[in-house]
Amino acid sequence: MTNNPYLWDKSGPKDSFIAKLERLLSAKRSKVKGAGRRPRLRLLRIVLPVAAAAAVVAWVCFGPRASKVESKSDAGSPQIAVEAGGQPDSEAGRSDATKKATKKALPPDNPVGETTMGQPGYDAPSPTDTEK
Amino acid sequence: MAAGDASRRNGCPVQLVRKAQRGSRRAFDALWERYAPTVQSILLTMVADDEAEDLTQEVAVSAYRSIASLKKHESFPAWLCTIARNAGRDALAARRRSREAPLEEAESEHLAAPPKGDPTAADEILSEIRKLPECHREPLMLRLLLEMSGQEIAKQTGMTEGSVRVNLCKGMHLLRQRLKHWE
Repeated sequence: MTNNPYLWDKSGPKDSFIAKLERLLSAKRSKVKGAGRRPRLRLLRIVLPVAAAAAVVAWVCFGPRASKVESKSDAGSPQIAVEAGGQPDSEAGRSDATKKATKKALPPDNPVGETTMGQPGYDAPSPTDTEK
Repeated sequence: MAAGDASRRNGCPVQLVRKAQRGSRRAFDALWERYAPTVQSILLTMVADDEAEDLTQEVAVSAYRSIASLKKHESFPAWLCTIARNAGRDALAARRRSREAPLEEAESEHLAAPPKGDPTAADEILSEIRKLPECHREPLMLRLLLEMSGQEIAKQTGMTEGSVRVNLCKGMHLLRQRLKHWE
């Protein structure tokens, strides 16, 4: 029973039963033989689609077509520069001396823009103040 | 010199083992690529396909972490096989504990568990191999699944050639009886 050359090293006459088992296990064999390489393939399967998607997004955002569209829209519209979170400067163009005079005329507790005429806290300047 | 002779006999790339022990990931990957099929085959003698794949990865991590503690470089394949056997036994023990079933019942229940989906002829063969006594399973699985020769099985598992020969032949005899309807 312990002397079967085909079972030991596939030498000698072919054992049909063993050969049949080998044949039926061939699909599993190729799967198991790739066991050491599979993690890398798995990694590639994850990394490749992500890299491809990133490349497409980058091409859409920064590609030559996107920059053409941007430049076309720039050509036809006037450029308005507004500082983020800032308000239009109503005193733009006035001299520093005028700005200082206006600040002096206003009461310290009522900064510009927080109160309006007719509301509580608004002190209307009298004609005499301006004369001084 | 004796270690060199031993490594030539069992075909173990001792240089790669040394490099892996010094922390070379590339060397470990090369070793793993070579011996992972043997590890997975050993695990397949205990658990089904999906679990064997998961456990194979666990064995890789475990081996990578503890390779520095390996004293005999030339016995790396046998050492890896021992880790695989222990991982398989631990998985079975954990399953037994979780089910709180009697040992014999839980093991036979697990080993006979059908694979997911339609079982193929290959699944049936593996299932029948799992039902054999433990000492016959491993040589038979390596011979039929990886088409290793008896000598190669002995080299990689650390068993003696005589032991492999006896277990292989007895195991095949039992498998023939179980799959008599195929002959």
